Amino acid sequence: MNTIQRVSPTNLFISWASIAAALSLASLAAGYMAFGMIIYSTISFILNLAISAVAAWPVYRYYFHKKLSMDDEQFTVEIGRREKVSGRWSEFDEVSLMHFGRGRMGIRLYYRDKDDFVEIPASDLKLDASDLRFKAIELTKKGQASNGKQG
Amino acid sequence: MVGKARWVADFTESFRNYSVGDIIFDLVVTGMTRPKGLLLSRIYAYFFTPNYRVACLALSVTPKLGLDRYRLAGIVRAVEKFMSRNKIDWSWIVLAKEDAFSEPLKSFVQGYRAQEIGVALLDLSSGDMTTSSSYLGKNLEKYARPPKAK
Repeated sequence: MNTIQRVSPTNLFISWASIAAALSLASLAAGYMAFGMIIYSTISFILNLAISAVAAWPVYRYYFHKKLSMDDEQFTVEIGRREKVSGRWSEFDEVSLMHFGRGRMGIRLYYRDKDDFVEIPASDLKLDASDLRFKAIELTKKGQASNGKQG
Repeated sequence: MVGKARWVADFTESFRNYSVGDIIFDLVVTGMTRPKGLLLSRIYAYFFTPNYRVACLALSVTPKLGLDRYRLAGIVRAVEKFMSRNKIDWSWIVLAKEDAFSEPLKSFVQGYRAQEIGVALLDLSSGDMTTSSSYLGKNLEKYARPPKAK
């Protein structure tokens, strides 16, 4: 019988979720020890949770929430409210598949005329990075062809 | 991924049909030799593993390419330029073909001694592999296992 053993890489997101769950239970226990009554500690815990959720939501939206909109001509990537990049497919000539670490995949588009690039975090957007790469290659080629015709 | 793989470097970026000089490589992957890891493995890698930028360029050889030793010398020169432009320290060039490579080409590769580039000729029909005599070239015998001949 063949034995298969696999060790997954540490998933930091799940680790943080586990820490948050343990912290919640610890704060519930701390509330019980402070107030001596389960009803007060539960109310305090629910209040803390609600305040944390309200405080965390804008932080998440500002720093982490990602959006991608694209058509055959152009695309726009937004990372929170701090970063917004738009581009036309015809501006790029090379497309690569990127591994950003911890299982996150995406694509990198290199500008044709300058030494710079734009990254689209495909797996954060629940997109297949490989499919997106081939789609981007097709669209950049199409953009270059139409540029060539115009020129 | 299908088949077995060996850890060579932390390859993070891959290109398809990538132009290097006048050659279009089917696959180019780039990365670093230092693995990332979590805490202890990252500390270990920081102190004991060199952080070289590396690339592996794979090309399927077709008759249209007209591959002889002069053409191969041109490919290697183009890869050298690609390396200096992209600050790459080590590269592996793998040329694969469905039949045998010519003897002059094999002896050219065996005599190629540049330390920063490893070259391998891979005959897919027989599974024979000819590598350059540098450390990187010899390592390709371990990394790029040719498929077993049927």
